[in-house]
Amino acid sequence: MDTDTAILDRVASVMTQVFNVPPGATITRATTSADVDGWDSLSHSIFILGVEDEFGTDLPIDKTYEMKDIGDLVDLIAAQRSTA
Amino acid sequence: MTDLASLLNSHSRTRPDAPFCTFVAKGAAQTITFAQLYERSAAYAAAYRREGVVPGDLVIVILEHSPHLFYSYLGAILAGAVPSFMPFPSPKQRADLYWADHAALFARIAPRLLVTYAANLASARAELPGFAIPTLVADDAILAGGDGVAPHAAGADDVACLQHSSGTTGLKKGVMLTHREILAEVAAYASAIDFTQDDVVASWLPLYHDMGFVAVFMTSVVLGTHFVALDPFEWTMRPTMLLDAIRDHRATFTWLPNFGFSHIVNGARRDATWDLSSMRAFISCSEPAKAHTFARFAARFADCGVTPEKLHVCYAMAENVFAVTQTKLGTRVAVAAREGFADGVVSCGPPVDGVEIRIEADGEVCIRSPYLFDGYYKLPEKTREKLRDGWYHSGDLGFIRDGELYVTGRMDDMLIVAGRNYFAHEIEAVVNDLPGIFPGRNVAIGVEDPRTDATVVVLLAECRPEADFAAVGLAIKRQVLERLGLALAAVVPLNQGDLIKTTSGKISRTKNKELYLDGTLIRTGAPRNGH
Repeated sequence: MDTDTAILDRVASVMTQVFNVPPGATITRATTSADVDGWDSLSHSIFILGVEDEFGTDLPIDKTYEMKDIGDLVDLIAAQRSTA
Repeated sequence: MTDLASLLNSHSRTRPDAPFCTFVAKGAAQTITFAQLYERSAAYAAAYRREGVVPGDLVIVILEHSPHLFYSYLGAILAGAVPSFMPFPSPKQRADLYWADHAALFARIAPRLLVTYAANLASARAELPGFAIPTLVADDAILAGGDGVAPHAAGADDVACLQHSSGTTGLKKGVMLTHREILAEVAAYASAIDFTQDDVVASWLPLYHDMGFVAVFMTSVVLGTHFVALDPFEWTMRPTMLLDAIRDHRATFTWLPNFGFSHIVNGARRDATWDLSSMRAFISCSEPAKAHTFARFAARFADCGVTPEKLHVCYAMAENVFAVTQTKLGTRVAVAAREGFADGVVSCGPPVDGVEIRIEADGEVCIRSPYLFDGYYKLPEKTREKLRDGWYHSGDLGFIRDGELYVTGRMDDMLIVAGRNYFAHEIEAVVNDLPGIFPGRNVAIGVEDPRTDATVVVLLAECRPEADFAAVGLAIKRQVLERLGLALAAVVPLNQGDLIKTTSGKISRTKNKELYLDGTLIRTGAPRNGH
């Protein structure tokens, strides 16, 4: 099972494919949609689909929409995988 | 029959068990028959009477995805009241600003009753201490008491409902539509697309927008047809839900803005397939259709039964109830070459029966039809400005070729973002007073996002030399999201004097957009501050 850091690294990798993350930018648990150019409701859903593919799991729609920052998403993935 | 209440009553008696709507939410579907629709709407009509609502009163409906949307709205029609759907607040909008904006609108239009959900009413009371509009909380308890309410016999020329335009809430315009106009448009449009009682519509569209309201909801009310209603929010997160609904219910029509086609393609996992062979038309509406979007959609779903001949375009607006033009089903949509449009301009088709289109010398598309609206509610000056000698001046630019309309842009600064309309000057106004920027020295521009095929908004802002550019950018994004519910794609912080002015001294959106697109503004802006 991945550690939180490993989950964060894999989430960050999906983010760089979906959003305009500048090279060298650091993605942390505190990163929010406002920090990342091009992160709107349409690209958010594509991002979540990418994360689901990356981790091979379906995430609950309402929880993925309510997430306030990347840390919430990492926690959601960890929780989902621990119950899978 | 010449009014909506009589039609609804008639459907409930002549085809009581026919499905009106299959309502899908959180993975579960329920079917509402015409008999159930009438009974539950009549229960709302009774509740309105108990609240003292009389014919002609304005009833505002603000509800999330729920069958109560239908019952509360049609209950108002049965009671002879004038309903209007309005959007509920998104979780990212600030509640105090949402309600302050509505307070300004409500002061102008004076609704007799607000129908909403408990959490939203609690929010209104918390944010607006003087909130005094009578309110009805939509819940199942209301549905118990509908016996004996006879439908109000409205005249054909009575105003049936108000369709509120998009844009900042306080400035929304209520398009007044009569029973005659709605019935005539639905009939004319059904004829244009050969729509019959055998057709089934699949939709994720919100009902506060004319596309969902008329093409889906009112069409079923008037013609007695069946539609499948998905939650717009759930669809955004899982766009292929629409394909599931088409497959599961053998749907024949769907309407969606251009970005929706791309969103579905982007949301479809690589090997997934659906049987979409039942579909007669996927109709692009509410934002300009793009040839490459259609090509991509047709290619992705070619093995699911989608052909280029099934992809269509409708040009529509609330002021004409809905459809103005529609491309011919069974034929491939035409694309005209045009300077400045690398992809060409996609045809919107010929006018629907009864509609006349005139292109003014400046290129503006003007419309006259038997079902053109009567005016904007309590806005006589705005009505006179837009409705002159029986012609509606749309603000759209376009041309006619071979009898078909091609729309090329807007005369004003309206930006269509994922099917919603925003005005650049309104976006600029909400950030103007933020610290760190120079008031009046910022511009909002619409830019095509190749990933989503949607227009996104970028704000170019001249910042004070001492400001932290990154912090200013974040503050601007937050302000626009909280005030307008719009996520800016990017904020470009600039140095003082970077933005180009027109000869009359105004900041030029067009010129600065060109500079942004060719990279010039980014180069001048960013390095000097070191961010």
